[in-house]
Amino acid sequence: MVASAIENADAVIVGCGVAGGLLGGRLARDGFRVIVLEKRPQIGVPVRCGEAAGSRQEISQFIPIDESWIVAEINAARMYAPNLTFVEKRFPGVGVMINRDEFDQALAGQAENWGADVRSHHEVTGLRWRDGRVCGVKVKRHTDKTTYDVDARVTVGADGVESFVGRWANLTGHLRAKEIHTAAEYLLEGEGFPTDTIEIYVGRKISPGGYVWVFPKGDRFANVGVGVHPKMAKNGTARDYLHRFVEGHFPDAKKRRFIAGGVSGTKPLKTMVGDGVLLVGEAGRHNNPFSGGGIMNALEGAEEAHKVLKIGLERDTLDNEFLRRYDKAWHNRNGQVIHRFALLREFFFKLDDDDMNRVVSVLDKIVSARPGKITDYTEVFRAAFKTTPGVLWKARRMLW
Amino acid sequence: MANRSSTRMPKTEKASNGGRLVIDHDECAGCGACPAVCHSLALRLDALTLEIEYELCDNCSLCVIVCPTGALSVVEKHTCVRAG
Repeated sequence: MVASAIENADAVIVGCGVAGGLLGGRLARDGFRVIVLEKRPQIGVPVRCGEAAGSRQEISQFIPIDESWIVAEINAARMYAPNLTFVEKRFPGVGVMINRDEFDQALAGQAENWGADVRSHHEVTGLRWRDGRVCGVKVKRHTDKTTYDVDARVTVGADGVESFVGRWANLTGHLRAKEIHTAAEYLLEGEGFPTDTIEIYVGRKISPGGYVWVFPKGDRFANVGVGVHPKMAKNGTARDYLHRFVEGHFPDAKKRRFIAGGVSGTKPLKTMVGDGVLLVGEAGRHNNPFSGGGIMNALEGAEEAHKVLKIGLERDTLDNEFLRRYDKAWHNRNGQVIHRFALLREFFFKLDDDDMNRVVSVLDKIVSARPGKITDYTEVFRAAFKTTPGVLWKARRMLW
Repeated sequence: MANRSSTRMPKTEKASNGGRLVIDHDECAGCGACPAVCHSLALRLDALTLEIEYELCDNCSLCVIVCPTGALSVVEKHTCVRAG
């Protein structure tokens, strides 16, 4: 048996999506030897994302804005009830729609420019352990079917919803059916799509336990997707629900791309770190468990991980106890909010279509009456619960 | 530290029925939903292709339930065309 070649790095990052790309780049910029491994042949492809992101200002904190991957503005959000009444709130400049594949490639390019060694089509097949701590990864290079090992001072799992690094390191388990949304999405070309508004449709018939989204993607294009709770979806797969919605609302549109995916919907992990290992992005359950959105959370998670790893690598202190600083920083920055959204998600499952009609009606009254005063989602929902006692009863276990 | 065993059966699913999990690769979108719910680490996206490690799979069917395209199914052994 021929022993695998061993390479050395300060940090090895598994997965070159949003979190892995940013974190790998920032550590390389600090002068550390960083290897970023992506199992897909092409970074960012296939896309598994609704592609709605934060504002230009927010994104520019992580990567210089390049208009080539921005395809539309988001200036408003509109939510349709099952009876097709809706509430609309304008948030000028609140976000942008991006081409996620190009965005991931831009982050990978930034990482390479800063000195990271980014390798696509290199799949991590296992962890290396030494004295009870993770000390690197085993890698399969798909291009020539060879294998090699990377010996690293710290291993980062940025490998998405299925995070094998998290599983191997005993930081995460499998997701239960109630902890995942399955989703399907078409990129449609046609007429009648919103131009600067993201549209959400809720209802147990069209998207049980989830919602339908219609996100603008530039002139004549839109991402139209459906996310469903797999246990509540009794009439087929997520793709079946998507077909029905598209046939009903955009029968003439041309289907230009189909994608599917699973989105975790869990409370924050108790810990995202172990000896010599940590998780970022959806691997660390950083995404919003209610909306499924995770681009900005992944960027912010990577930023927090970078701050802790920079110090840890400089001091050569990368044990579980030290890395818990990252747990704490994430909890303070976003973890608490994610916890609330997880509760909101559980509450949402209890609503029937009549409840949703009432909630949207009340939200519309609140937003219309106080257009300039509502700036925060919790304010909207609190007001809605107070004015709809039936809904409030269903929400009694929520901790606002 | 670890708060879940990766080898525990999901409470929601029944044990093996003697069938065999099969993938319709024409339907599979390579999305990663099924590996995320697989409690025995039997499913894995090898770059872009979904693979099953049959020695680990106990046909719990959770992956079938979460598949967004219906690409996975459990067939009874006598109807399965694959060997083994």
